[in-house]
Amino acid sequence: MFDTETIRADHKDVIHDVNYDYYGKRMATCSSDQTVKVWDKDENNKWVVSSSWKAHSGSIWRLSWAHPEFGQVIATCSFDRTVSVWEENLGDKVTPTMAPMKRWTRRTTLVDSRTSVTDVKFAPKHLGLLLATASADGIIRIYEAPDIMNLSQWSLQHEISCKLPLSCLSWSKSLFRLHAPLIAAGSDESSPTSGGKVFIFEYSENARKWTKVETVSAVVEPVHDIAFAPTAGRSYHILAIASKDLHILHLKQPLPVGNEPGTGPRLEIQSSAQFTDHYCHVWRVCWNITGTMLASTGDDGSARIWKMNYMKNWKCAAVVKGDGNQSPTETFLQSQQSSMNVSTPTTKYYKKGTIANPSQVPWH
Amino acid sequence: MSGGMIHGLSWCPNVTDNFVTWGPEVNLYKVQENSDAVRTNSSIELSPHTYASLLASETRYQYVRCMAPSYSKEVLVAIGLASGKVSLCNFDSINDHNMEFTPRQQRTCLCLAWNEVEPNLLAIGHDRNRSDYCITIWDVDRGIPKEPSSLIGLGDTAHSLCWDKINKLLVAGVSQKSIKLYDTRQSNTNCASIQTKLVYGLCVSPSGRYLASYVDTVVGIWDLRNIDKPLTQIQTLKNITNLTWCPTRTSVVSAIQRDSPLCHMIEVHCTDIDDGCDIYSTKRLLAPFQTRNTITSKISTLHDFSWHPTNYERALFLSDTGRIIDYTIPIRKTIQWDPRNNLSPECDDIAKVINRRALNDYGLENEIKKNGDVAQNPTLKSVWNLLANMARDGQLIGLKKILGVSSAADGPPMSKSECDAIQWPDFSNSCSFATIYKSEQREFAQCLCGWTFENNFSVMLNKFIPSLCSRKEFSRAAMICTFYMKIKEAIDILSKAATDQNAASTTYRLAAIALTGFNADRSKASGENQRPSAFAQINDPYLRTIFAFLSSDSDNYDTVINEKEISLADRMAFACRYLSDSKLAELVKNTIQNCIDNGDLHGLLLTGESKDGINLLQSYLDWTEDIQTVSLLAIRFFPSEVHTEPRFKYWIETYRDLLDTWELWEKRAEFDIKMESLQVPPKISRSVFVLCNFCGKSVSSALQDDVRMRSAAANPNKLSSCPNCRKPLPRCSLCLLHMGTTTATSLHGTSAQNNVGWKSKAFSKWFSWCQTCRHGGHTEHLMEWFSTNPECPVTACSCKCFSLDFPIPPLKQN
Repeated sequence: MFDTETIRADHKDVIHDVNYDYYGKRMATCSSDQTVKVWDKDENNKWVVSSSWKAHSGSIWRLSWAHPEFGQVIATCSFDRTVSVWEENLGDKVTPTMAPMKRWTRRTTLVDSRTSVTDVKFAPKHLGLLLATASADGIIRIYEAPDIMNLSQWSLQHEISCKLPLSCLSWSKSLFRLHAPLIAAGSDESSPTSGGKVFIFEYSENARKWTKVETVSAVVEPVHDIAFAPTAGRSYHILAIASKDLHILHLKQPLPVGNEPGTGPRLEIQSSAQFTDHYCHVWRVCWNITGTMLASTGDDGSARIWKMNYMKNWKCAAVVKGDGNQSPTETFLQSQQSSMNVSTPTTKYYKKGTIANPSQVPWH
Repeated sequence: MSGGMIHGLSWCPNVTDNFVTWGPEVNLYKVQENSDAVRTNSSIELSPHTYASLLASETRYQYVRCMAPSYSKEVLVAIGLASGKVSLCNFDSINDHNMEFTPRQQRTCLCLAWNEVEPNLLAIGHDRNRSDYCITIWDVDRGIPKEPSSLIGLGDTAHSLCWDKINKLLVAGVSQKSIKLYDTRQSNTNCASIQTKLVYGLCVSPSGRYLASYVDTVVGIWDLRNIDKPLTQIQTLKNITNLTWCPTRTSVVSAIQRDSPLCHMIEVHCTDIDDGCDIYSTKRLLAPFQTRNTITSKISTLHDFSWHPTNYERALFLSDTGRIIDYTIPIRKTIQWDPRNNLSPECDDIAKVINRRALNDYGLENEIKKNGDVAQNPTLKSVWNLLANMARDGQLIGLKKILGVSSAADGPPMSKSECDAIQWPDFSNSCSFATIYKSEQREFAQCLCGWTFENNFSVMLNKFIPSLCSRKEFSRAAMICTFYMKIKEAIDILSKAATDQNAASTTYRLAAIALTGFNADRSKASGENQRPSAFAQINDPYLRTIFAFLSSDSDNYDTVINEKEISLADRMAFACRYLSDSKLAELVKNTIQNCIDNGDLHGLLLTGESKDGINLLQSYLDWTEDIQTVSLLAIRFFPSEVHTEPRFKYWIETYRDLLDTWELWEKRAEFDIKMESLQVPPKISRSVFVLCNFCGKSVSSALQDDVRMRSAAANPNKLSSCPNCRKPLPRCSLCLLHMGTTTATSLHGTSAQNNVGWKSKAFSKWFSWCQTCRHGGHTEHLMEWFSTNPECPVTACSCKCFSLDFPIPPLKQN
């Protein structure tokens, strides 16, 4: 049984990304209709749009919330080749009695990419106010706001070239000081002959440089999404990859020898699971807060939840299919509640629309 | 309805549950939910959820070539015939419109296009005739078009027509060689024309900016504002028969092909910048008639297609066999976990468990054992009990250290013990001996294992054993008695337990009888092979161990040591009595390795706060993701010197971050306080100093000294100037009082002894400053001011202090 909360998103086109803020109290959606919407809960605990604005002049692929320590800040990336950083602030006071309105202001536009910017992600807080972008020209760019009070100044710190067009990236989430920061990036280049489609980069504090430490040769199909799990204190990283199959990798980062990150032995990569259960390309992957549950959506519109059992094996805990009778431009919030299956977690989804019989409608 | 009789279909744009099919007859259907009404013979099943019931049927049109439902509020369909006639049909037999337009020269009607903005305008396209126009614009409200302004394109063929969304611009694909744009607001001769072969299937995006068209296997996308050449061309496998722009989404164009079961979904993304346009397109293929069953057999090919006018996930597909399906188009969905979502009660995920335990003050209880109860987990409960036994002055010393076991092969030898051969006392006829080992360290180790009687039999029998019995741990008590060769006492305990109303009373009685008849000598002589299997049938692990112990060879106690159902503490305490130094050392090392491999926290008994202990915590964490238990154990039982270890910081930071995400501020603060209280006070205790604006000397220390000298009754507001230079101290920008009111309220971690002024002040009385404009005042006053004002209270300062770094509180919850 699935409890579905339906939210009319009123986006005029496909919603490409949805993201919660750090606390899960706000969310933001972006769409091909070139708008961003920010959602808050009203007094009845219902999601309502608190702001909506045209943010780009092309499809908006992804967005990312900064840590609340930096304020209410969102970064968006678009097909129009730009990345924008938005900040919520108080507008001018309209009446003496009413509190001033909140509104989102564009703080900067990053225009270094010559092609569509496919992903944007803020770095984990402890690295500072950093922003990584991936673009179709195969370049990862890392920007930094040296003064966190001034979000209009961003300097391009690093440009990492990957040769293949990039579709997604993810920062490693570890707070472990001896683990050098990692970025994993995926390419949606369709020819399998161009080799591995997932690249892993490591930052060396001493050299102040990002270097490619690994190409995951096991994944040669186009990659649509990639996500490092929150580490929850683990000694290794878990990486989920949405490609033709769903891949889950364990990455053991060697401890640096002689306090010099990057000089030690290589990253140890182990495949933990590979699933074909979607019977189609996997489109998106995301983790719960402890990295113990994974949710994925497929090209067929269905979603699956994966859970790790105590033997460290991943199992599909639930399949979510819509009922197919929904009106357009709606986002569904599904909270899944199973009365029988103890292994079924409870979760919420934000997704666009639903589908009746995913098994009958394979994409080719 | 017989198969193959339908040539095409279309949804009615403004009557969204109706669709029209055409062929030899033109039919109007209404789509209904399965549950809605009773079906009739004429209804068609469209999907597992929906079916179509026939509303009306028209059979008077012969040789229909094309059909288009209008955008009007009622059902109105234009039907183009092979004869060139165009009829309007509203399926209403009583109030029949039945208007008909006949061209001057008879030739086939090829295409029809209703205007969306002005639903009375219909554009009609005809085949070529050298003396007639190929395009007719019919204002159906005004009757049959006659005036020349509505006739366009002399001697041409109109292959396809469409209206743009705003400008009343008519786009026509003409004579296989050009696309022409007619502005109907101006004279007809005024038109833009582009030479291209892509003249078929013209359609405009919902945004009104883009145009798509095809010829054979090529789709072209055009920018209507700059139509000189196509923005992009997309190749398909087979000849296209239908190209449609999704009526609700600019980013999708669909194409179906001749003799193909596959529908192309072309995703189009453009930048709407005025100068030049960037385009990106990808194709996805969809086989609507493919099901699990038809994978091997032939799949029906697609014949026609119609997007639902409002729901972009829905479309009607018509197969070559005349089957219609109401199809849900799979949409790629994005997905995200809510950081607090998995907190509903049914969930057994660790995140939920951690959250619940945090709310119950897990790990923060001063009495160590209580934390085990809060955990609601038997393993963790026994770990906390173990730690309660082990903790000495907040420190954990592992057995390994106590016994002096060295990890290195050539390390210093462990502390020596004396061995003693003890005769079995309770069997008078026995002459067998058991070797036991004694040393101060071993006794201490046993103590840590929970055997707190220090080998003192009277303490053991009078206090320890009765306490076990009072907790109904009869078999365990009997086992420990047996380990100390008090067979009689063991029998007494078991007999007493048997009289107790207890489910296991029979077992106890039998065990007591068996023990009575047990002879150490005889047992050793009897068949070795049968015993293990016989013991294995005893369910109670303690009883099992009693017999395993009594029947074991003189110094081979492997069955006891490896009895996994008995706590590690009991087994280690046993080993401390009966194993030789070398065997004990071996056991300790193996057990530690085993615990680390399996993430068993009980191993802390052996490792204590050593490096192995840290490895053990990490291993437990890797197995369970229980960051909470690990952080709490780390701060409570590991000395503060170890807290600088990067892994400790990592765990603690990760756990605090988790609490932050859940907004469990109080719990996080309690955690921090616990951590501070158990640590040696840090050397730098003060993090904030108040300096005089003028002389730059510290004001806070002077203020504190001042307070200490004064009595508690002294007015803390008295100090209003710098004690060094006598210049005035800053004032609250709202109440204009001096900041002397903050005396002794520096953020001083260890100011407990001089907190005279501190305790009298709530947080709201403290001073606070904007880090940007440096204006400030009492927090209380500032909060009040900023609740209604966005700007700094200081006159002429336009700094928006409050919104600079304070997360703007969202709408109030509940």
